[in-house]
Order: sequence, then C-alpha cells, then structure tokens
Amino acid sequence: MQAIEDNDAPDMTGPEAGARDIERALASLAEDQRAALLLVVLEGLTYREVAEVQGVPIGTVMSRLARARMQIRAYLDGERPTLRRVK
Amino acid sequence: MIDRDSPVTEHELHAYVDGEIPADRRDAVEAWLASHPEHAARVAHWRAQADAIRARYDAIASEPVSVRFDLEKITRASRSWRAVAAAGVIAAFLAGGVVGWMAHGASAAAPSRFDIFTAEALGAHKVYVVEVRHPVEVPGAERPHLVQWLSKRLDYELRIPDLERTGLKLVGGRLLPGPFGPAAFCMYEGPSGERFTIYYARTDSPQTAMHYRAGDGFAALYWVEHGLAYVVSGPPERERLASVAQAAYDQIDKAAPSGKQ
Repeated sequence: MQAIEDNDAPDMTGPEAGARDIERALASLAEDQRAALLLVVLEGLTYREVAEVQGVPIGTVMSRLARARMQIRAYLDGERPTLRRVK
Repeated sequence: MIDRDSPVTEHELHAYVDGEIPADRRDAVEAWLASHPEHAARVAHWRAQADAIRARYDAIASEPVSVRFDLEKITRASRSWRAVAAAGVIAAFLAGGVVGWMAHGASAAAPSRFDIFTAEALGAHKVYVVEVRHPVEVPGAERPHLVQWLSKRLDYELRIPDLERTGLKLVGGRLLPGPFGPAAFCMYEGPSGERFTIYYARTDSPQTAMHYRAGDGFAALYWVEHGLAYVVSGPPERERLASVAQAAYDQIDKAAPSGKQ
C-alpha cells in the first residue's frame, strides 16, 4: 500500500521531484526554444549571447524563453496527477 | 519617474528571473510582483524550472566538452568565446538527442564542483563586500606581494587581472579556507562603490564553459581553466558581470602556460 501525498501537488520543489519530469518537459519543447532556455539557465549566457548563437534578435530569444517556460509549466501541470510524490 | 511606474511587461519578468533586468527597474518589478501574487507564482515556477534543470544537468554540463575553443580564432571573429563554447555544448545535447544526453549522465545526484565552488565564492563575497575597514588582508597597492603570497599558498601561479578597463580598481585580496584546500579571493571596486570578487581554487575538474548562478542578491560566473576554478561574483546584472568575467578571462588566458592547446 502506498500513500499519495496530495498537499504538495502543485509545486516541483526539490531536485528529486524534478529530474524525470523536467527531462520529459524539455523533450516536449521545440528545438529552438529548448536551446534558448538551456543556454540561459544551464550555460549562463546573456540574452545577447544567445541571440548571437541562434542568429536571431534578442526579442526572438525572449519570446522563445517565454514560450519554453509556458510550455514546461503546462506540461508539468497537465501531468500533475502522476507527479504526486509517492511515499 | 515614468519609468518606475510603467507597467511591468512579460519580457521584464523573464529578464528579472534571468538577472537581465536593468538595476533601475528591479525595484519596480519586485514591488509589482508583491501586489500581483498570480504573477509572483509564475515567476516562482520559472525559478523552480531552472533549479530542476540545473539539478538535473549541471554535473553533465561540467564534463569535458568535445569543443575546445581556439581563443584567438574566436577573438578575431566577433563572437565571444563563451557563446561559441556553450553553443557546442547545446549542439552536443541536441545532436545526441535528449535521451542520449540523459543516459550519459545518469548519476547526477551529488553536488557538482560548480555547486560547491560557487556556493563558497558567493558566501565569501557576501561576507566581505560589505566590509568597510577590513575587506581584504593585503591591499591592492601591494599587488606583487599579493600575487606572490596567494600563488605560494595555492601552489599555483595566479594571475590577478587588471580590470581598470571595465571601471574596476583592485581593492586587494585574502586567503580563504576552501572545501578542498586554500582558496584565494580578490576584490575589485567600481566608481559607485559596487564590488566584484574573484575566487580561485585548485580543482581536478576538466575545463568548462562559463556557468551562471544567481544567488541571494548576488550572481556569479564560474569556469575552470588549467586546473583552477574561477568564480567571478558581483551584483546580479548579467551583462556587467559577463563583461567583467570576460575581461578577467582574457588576461588570465593570455598568461596561461602556452603549448597546452
């Protein structure tokens, strides 16, 4: 028998909660959006540098980031029932 | 001040999360978020996403990258070396596919050297930048002595860059206890009193591209070159921090032993 904790459903705190879900959420993104997000979050590039790497204006980089974050949130929210931590 | 009262845009919220918001808008964004809990929750979610991504991939991103960048070539082109190196990392990610990349780093649980050194450096930064009378042990006026002393203690020929070009004067430096041995710490100061620090520690980690980490009111850029980890910390303004780190990197790299690459 496993109990399911309901009260922590909407968050994704703690690295253990995020690992597999974030993998799948990233995989669901369009390539340009995923690259923009990873360059900023993981590689620490400035928006200007990402624009340089991707060969697009900074405004486009920001739009890609916004869409990537929205999509990840929607993905994780949509998956919420299976995201509940099982103890 | 029209600027202060103007509504906060979607792009500004992202820029706020990524440390790209201009200093004169940060307060306005924070005030706005305080009265818009729904948007504050979105911002919190984006931060949690970023934490999850870093928790999952930092250790992998710190592994040796097959891209070795030829600085001279890159300098001649207009791109920054950071952009080129990072582009290589992401290209590897995309080419290998997300699944391949993940299989590659199946054991990313332990805190990476990046996490450890950045936390140490930001901790020291926070403690010492507020010091008025004793920010350093050896003043910048005694640079040769400072270099010699710290180099001896780290058993590594340190290079303490001259950052006047970016408007920063060397305040001085000190020795710190590090997680794996002694660490060196140098402080710089700008015209309006803003302070930046460089943290140096020996490491056996392979060379990395620069990584950004936003802390509590501060931000840091970390990289590893020839067995030394560097963390440049300062106010959370990414462009400025990146230009300071780039200036430091350029001088350190020039002084690096030749023939290694």
